[in-house]
Amino acid sequence: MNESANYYAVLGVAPDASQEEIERAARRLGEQFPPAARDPLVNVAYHQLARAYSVLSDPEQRAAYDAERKRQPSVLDLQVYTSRSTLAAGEGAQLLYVLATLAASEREQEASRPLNLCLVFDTSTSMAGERLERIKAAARRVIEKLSTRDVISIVTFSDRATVVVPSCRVNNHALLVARLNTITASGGTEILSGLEAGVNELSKVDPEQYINHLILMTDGHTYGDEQESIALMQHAADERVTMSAFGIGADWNDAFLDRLVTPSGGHSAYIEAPAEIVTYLQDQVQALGATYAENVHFIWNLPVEVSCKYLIRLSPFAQPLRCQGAFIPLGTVETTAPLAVLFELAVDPPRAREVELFLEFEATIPSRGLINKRFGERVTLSVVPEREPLVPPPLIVRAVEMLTLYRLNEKAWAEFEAGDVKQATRRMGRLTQRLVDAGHTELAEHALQETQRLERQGTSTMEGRKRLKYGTRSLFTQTLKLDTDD
Amino acid sequence: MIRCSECNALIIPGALYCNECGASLLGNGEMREAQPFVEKEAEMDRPRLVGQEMNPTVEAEQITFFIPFSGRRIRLPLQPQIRIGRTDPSAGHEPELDLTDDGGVGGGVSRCHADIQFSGEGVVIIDRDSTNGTYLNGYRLPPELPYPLHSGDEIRLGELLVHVFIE
Repeated sequence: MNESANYYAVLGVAPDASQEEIERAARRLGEQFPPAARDPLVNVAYHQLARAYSVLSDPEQRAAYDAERKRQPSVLDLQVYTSRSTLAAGEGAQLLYVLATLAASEREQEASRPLNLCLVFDTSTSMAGERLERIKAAARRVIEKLSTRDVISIVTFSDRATVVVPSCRVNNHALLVARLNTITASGGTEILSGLEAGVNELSKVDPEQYINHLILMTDGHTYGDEQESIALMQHAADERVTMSAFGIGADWNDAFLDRLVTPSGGHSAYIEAPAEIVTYLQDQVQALGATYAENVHFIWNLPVEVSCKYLIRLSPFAQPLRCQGAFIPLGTVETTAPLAVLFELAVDPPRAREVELFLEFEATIPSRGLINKRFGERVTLSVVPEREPLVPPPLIVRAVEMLTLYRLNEKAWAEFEAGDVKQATRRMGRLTQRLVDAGHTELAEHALQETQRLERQGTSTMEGRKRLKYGTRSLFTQTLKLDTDD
Repeated sequence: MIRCSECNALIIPGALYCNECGASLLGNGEMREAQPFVEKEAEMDRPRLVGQEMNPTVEAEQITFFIPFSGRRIRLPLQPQIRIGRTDPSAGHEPELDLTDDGGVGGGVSRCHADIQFSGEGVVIIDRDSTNGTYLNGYRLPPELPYPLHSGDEIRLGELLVHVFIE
């Protein structure tokens, strides 16, 4: 663990705050945590709070900390946790878990850049009725929340795309709402045409001046244009457009939406009931407004002995990421929610006394005028002759437990797809048990239903599968509580 | 490579959880424990537990152990206490169920590993603070606490699997 966190920011006090102010701030913040979360070992935010308080409340430690801060001003706090500090020689490949969190170093809300937002709505026949009405209501709320500095565009698509609201500043709410009301649903689901029109609208302003984001809402499958869609969003990501995708109901392609959002480090989510559309859309827009650092990438320059087996973002918005190439998009850091990623690495220890990993990141922080700023942390693992017992930090244990549940579910469905119903049933049964053990009763019930369905009929439902996939994914944010403000 | 103690899958060293079955690999501290007998009794409707569920095991007469590793099947009359372990005459250990020849040594069975007790409350199993633990249907039992045992249950002593049938 490094000591780079800005403790003044954690407590929300000025660097020249008095001891009483520090005391008061720490108590006030501490009380915001539910009693169960007041464990510095499992809650990152609480851990930071406790650490900040212990340093700043001690005049001697505070003086040393101030001196260090003067020497090395930071803009983004990077904390790295690892599951082990040694590797056993001659044991071959070994797993190493690395959890990295990046947090805004200043708590005060900076005037963030305005939004350049494009809402891309599926208006195929199946959207008619409650889904479309809820989407319109959600869009209305979003429009109300935006400021006159922001730019919005709205695109709908069925067999082809329609630009309902061309890229414009949000200064005539009534006109925008009137345009929304003209939307009706009929036809197929041609996602590519919708995305093309959306990206085109987003490109009408200078991307450097805005936070550019496309929100896709769909309830169906697109046919034959998946690859082109992914390529389009890859290209858009290069032009600083990020994306989030929401699937409504059960009949949409989750693997495809995951791949669409990967290039920009965005996220996909499952909206089970139309009533939830408003919340999801609002949360997304609110998160965009709280963007502190964007275009965050992990720069892969780890030694050849190290390979990445799995990479997942835990916060904000849990999302598996593709660990490939030298620049791996991770997403954004929000002023209120740190970015946390978990790596599962395989390390084959070399014939040397130690392995050094340099975990390097790159981020753009517009409020500081920093573009593609690089920073990192060195982790050294010593190579020892005998395997040592693992004593990972509880936070890593929690994160890996969640990851294990998520992957058990993915594995069961991969086995099901491959035709091995028996194995899938067994695994789903095990997942049920683990979910019960971990106290996630509601998810356990869904898993049990799927187990029984597999056992009795050898079938599954798209609904159940999505519930489990996104349910196990949401455990990360629920259980780790990385949001400092929650 | 190491093996998962619950599902026997091969695991890359350094893993914290088994990717095949989700079991924690961090040893006792992180193991989830089964609910002790007393707590279960307190949670549930008392008459139902004693009257209904326990009936089959209360009226039991004999108990059969099947050890897949050795293929041996042992049938014993149900008596107030059946000790499970390994015979060691020098230390005076003579368990009713001796697993020495069933792979007990390699499987990590202690000399005095666990007891099966039979009383008016039914059949229970108690781990005798064994070195490698007693598992009931995949749960590691906390030592020295009685857990109800039912026909068809699977117990594991260290790494040695034993199926139990009560008639």
